Amino acid sequence: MQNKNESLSQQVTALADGSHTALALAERSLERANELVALNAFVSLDESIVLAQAAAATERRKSGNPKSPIDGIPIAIKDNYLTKDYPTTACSDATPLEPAGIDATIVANLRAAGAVIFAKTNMHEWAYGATNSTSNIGFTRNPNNLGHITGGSSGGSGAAVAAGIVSAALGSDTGGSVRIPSSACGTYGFKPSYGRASRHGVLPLSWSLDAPGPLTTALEDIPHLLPYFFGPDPRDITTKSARLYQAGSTFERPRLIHLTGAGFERSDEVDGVINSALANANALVAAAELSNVPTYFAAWEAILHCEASAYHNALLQENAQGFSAVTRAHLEAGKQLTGVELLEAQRLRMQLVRALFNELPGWDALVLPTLPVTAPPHGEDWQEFGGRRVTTQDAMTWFCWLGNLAGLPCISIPAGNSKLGLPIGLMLMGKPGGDEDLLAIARVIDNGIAG
Amino acid sequence: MPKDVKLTKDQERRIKATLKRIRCGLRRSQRDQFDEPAHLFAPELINAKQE
Repeated sequence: MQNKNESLSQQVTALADGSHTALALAERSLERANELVALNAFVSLDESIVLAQAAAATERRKSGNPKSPIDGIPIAIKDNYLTKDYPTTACSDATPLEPAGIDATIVANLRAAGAVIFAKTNMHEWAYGATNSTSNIGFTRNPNNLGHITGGSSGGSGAAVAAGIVSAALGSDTGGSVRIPSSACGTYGFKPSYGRASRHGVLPLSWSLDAPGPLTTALEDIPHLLPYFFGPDPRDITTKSARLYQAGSTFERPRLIHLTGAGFERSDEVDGVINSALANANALVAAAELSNVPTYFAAWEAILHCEASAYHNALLQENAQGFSAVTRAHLEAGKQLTGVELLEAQRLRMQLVRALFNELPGWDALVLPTLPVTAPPHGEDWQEFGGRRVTTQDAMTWFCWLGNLAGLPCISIPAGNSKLGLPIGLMLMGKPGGDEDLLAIARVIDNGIAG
Repeated sequence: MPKDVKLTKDQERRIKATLKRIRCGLRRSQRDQFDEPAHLFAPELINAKQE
C-alpha cells in the first residue's frame, strides 16, 4: 500500500529515461525539507554538499556514464552511520561532534554507486529507545499528524521518507528501530538477517542484536538498495559468510504463522486491519501461540543492556552527564547485570530459535502487527491494548524485539490506516539468510493489501 | 565536568525496575542441561592474512 510520494523505483526509471535530472531531484528534496522543518527530521543538512553531489551525478548521466541505477538519488542517513562529510552525533551530547572522516561500509557503497548522501536524520539518543522522544535536538514529529510521535529510533528517517522529502533513508534496528518508525509513519522498513549486512561504521547499540536496514516509499525500492547492504565485509566478521543480494525469489502461496496469545496482544483496531490484510492475501494463514514470551523478552533486554553498557563504559565514566537521564539509567542497569545472567539470556536466545523452528508448525514467514497501537501522541507515557497496560517504550518494541533476538530478516509494510488516519503496519519475519524469500512473501501480502 | 555524577532518585528507580523485570523474566526460564548459550566463536575468521 504505497503512499502517494514518488518512490525510489520511480526515480530510477525517471533518471534513466531522462525525465528527471539528479539536480532537479536534489533541489526538490531540499525544497521539501525546508517546507517541513517542523518535522525536525534532520540533524545535519548542507545544501552545498547535496547540490555538489547532485551536479556530479547529473554530469555522469549526461555523458552516459551513470555509476548505477540509483546514481543521483538522494538518500538520507540515520545519524549513527559514520559519514565523511557530515558529523555523526547519535543525537547525544555524549559523543564528539567532529566529522568522522570515514563512511560506514553501507554509506561508502551507496556513495560509490552515485547516491546523493542527502542529510543525517534525527534519532532516539544512541538508538537506545523506540519513541524518538529523547534526542539532543528535540523529538521528531509524525508527518501524518504532527501531534504524534514517529516512533524510533530511526524516527527522522521515517519522517523524511513518509513526508516525501526523500524516497529512501537508512536506519538501524536493535529491537525494531527500522520497523517501528516505518509502521508509525507509513513507510516500508526492512531489517536484514543478522550477519548479512555490514555493521561497520554504524555506531553500535548492541553488537549481537543490531542490523542496518532501509526505510522506503515502496516495496519495490528495497531490492534496489539491498545490494549495497549485503555481502562480506572484512571489517565486520559477522558478515564473513554473507551472500550477496540475489534477485528473483518468488512465492506462490506462502505459509504464514500469525503469532497470537499471551505476549502478542494488540488493540482491536490494529488487529482488524491485520486480519483484513491477511484475508486478502494469497497465503495459507494459521494462528499459533509461542510460550514463554516474557522470558524471551527479558533475555533480549538483558543482552541489550549488557552489550550497550560494555560499549559505552569508558564514555560513561568520562562523561555521564552527556547522556540523557533515561539513557544513563539503562546503561547503569546493564552494568549491574551479572555474567551469569547474561549467559542465561544467551541460553534463552538459543531456546527461542529452537522453539520458532521446531515447535511451531511449518512456516515460510511469521506474521504480526508491527506495533500493537498506532503512533501515540507526544507525551503519552502509557499505552493500553488487549488487556495490557505498558509504557509507550515497551508498546513500540512489543513485537519487534523477537526478530532481533532470533536474528531473523523482518519487514514492515503499510497495511491500512486507523480511523484517525494514522498508519498501521504489518510485520513479516522470515528465515535467517532468507531475506530475498521474505521480500517475495511481502510482495504477495502487499499485492493483497493493494487489492 | 565532574566524572563522578550521582544518580538521581528517578534514575535509581528506573534501574531497580529494569533489573527486577529482567531478573523475574530470566528466573522463569526452563533449563535443559544440554542447552548452551549462543556463543559461536570462530577465531579463524579474525586471521585476515589467512596464513
